[in-house]
Amino acid sequence: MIPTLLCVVLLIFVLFEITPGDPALTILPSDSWTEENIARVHKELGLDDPILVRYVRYLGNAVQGDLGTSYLTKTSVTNEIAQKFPYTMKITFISVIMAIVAGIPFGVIAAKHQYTLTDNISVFISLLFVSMPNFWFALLLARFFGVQLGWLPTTGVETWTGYILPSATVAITSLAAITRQTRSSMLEQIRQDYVVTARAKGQIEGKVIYGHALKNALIPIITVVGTNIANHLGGTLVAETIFSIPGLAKYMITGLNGRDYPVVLGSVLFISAVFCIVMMVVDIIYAVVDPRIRIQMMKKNNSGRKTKARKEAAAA
Amino acid sequence: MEKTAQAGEAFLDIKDLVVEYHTDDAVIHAVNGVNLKLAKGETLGLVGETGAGKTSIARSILRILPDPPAKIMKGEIWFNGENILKLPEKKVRSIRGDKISMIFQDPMTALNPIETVGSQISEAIRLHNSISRADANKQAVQMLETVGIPGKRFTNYPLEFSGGMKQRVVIAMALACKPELLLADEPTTALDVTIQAQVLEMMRDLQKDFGASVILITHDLGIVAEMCEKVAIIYAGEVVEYGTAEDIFDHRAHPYTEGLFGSIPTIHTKTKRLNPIRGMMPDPANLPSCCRFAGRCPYTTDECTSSYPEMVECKSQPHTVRCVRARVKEGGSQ
Ligand SMILES: Nc1ncnc2c1ncn2[C@@H]1O[C@H](COP(=O)(O)OP(=O)(O)OP(=O)(O)O)[C@@H](O)[C@H]1O
Ligand SMILES: [Mg+2]
Repeated sequence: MIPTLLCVVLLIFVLFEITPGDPALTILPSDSWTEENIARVHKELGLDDPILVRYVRYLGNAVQGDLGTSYLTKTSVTNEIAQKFPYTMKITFISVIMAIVAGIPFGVIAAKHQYTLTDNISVFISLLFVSMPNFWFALLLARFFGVQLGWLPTTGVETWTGYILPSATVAITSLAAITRQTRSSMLEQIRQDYVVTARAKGQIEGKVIYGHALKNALIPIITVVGTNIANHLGGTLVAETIFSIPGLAKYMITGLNGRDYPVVLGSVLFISAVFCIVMMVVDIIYAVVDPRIRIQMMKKNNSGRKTKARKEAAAA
Repeated sequence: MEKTAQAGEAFLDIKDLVVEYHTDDAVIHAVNGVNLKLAKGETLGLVGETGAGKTSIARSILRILPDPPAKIMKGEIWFNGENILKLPEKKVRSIRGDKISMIFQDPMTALNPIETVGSQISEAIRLHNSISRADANKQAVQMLETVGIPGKRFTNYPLEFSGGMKQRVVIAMALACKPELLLADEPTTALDVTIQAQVLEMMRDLQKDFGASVILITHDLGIVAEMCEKVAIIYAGEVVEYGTAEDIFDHRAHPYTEGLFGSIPTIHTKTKRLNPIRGMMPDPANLPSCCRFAGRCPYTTDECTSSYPEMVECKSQPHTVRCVRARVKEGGSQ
């Protein structure tokens, strides 16, 4: 995880270095764009130092929890992120749950009725969603549920209902992927012998499908969900913009537009860290769901312990 | 109140069973008008080469054929005075795993890989007995020990077991509710020879203890000699010969059965495997309307290729054969 984050920061430093544009120009009002003013700003921000020095200095501060100060607003990036991230996190989280809750049953139903009308309809619906641009879907939702029906608010998140439309917007990012993955891994599982065994025991069909087959089909589905969380984080950008939510994604875009390097760096670093943690959680979920993985992990630990013990014994 | 088979009425009676698989490009006639009877406590061997329809017959009894593509087109399966094929799904579910259970062909894939073996056995117990989870687990531990697996392995997963142990678990699961009828689909084919013998012995002991009737599907005539009282030879989805083990081993009448035995083996030869018979079983998607064995039979006559042979009763009851030669041999004792 640490090397990944170091690389992420380095990459952004390099990208900033090679992209044209100067933060001093956005900080200074355009009538004071003189050589010496610009040089003064550069000096203040430490932009004259070589890239490696800046990189190491940034990391040193970041380790202590200081992600720098915004060039434009002069506020602490750490504080701003702490304030804005909860919105983004909630939208991402709710949207992932929505995608799972809709996508998995869709996939299971499609698999159970393979090649029938039901199958085609659910594949069609998921294709429809995947080919719909997020922003357009967001506008449709806002118009229908917000304006026409007046059920849900279209701006802000003063109440929990404000999260529904933005989350739904983001949910379609991975709905189709989850549906398709569920369908294909269920198709594989429902042909397996152990499914027939479960039926032969007298188990009811629902338990056979959801209790036995789906549990076995979960691993690849979890992988798809895990890798799509990054896309969901990205998707919140559209949702936060359209539904005016003061979240992290919006903060980052403002930073990008203003060449506010600390804001962009801090946000990206933070989101990358979150993503790394999510991936670790996904690995843990694998082990919880699948005893085969759990047993393998335990064996590795045991053999590690054994070799260590053997080495110690040899040393003694 | 339990319904029991009335006098004169067989415990299991399969009448004119027809099973077809409707795939995209063909209709496969897997079972074509099979009649079989089984008395209480009896062991019936179903013998036939691969693709003959043995598994399809067994799965029909539990109504667990894969649908689609399988369809039971015709027939009746009477069990304890009820026609299973006409029962509502809910009723069949209460029979599955309780009164009738099945040991599957391949122990490596018959267990759910991500559930502990113990919970898979106790699942079967809890489905048919209204007892607490703890009590069901206790019974499951007992079942494991009955099949020779230490009870403390209850919480192990199938991948921690060898093939033979998995098959024991499958057997424990099938016997967990003390079934009246056990369908054993090649219970030992996937095992090596030493373990085969152990598993068979165990099945026999358990059958004695539980008093179950058994349908034993196998390719192995040695196993039939050891285990079965009655034998049905299945060819291309039909019973071509049926009788007591003695009849089949010592007075067999169908050329296909002869082919199965090669030339000499007797009931005392235990490990004789199927001898290859020249030619192939007819394509089940495209069966001839005459005798299905005519294409491979050394005694084929014009009658064999022009008409369909009926079941003929031989002298020693209940021995029946589907062959015109038998009718001649037995002097038309229809
Ligand atoms: N799911 C299926 N789809 C299509 N055809 C099938 C299916 N299952 C079985 N069949 C066909 O039905 C026929 C009978 O199969 P069945 O499995 O009953 O044979 P078997 O006697 O049990 O053979 P084996 O000894 O190999 O287990 C075969 O021709 C087989 O190809
Ligand atoms: Mg079979």
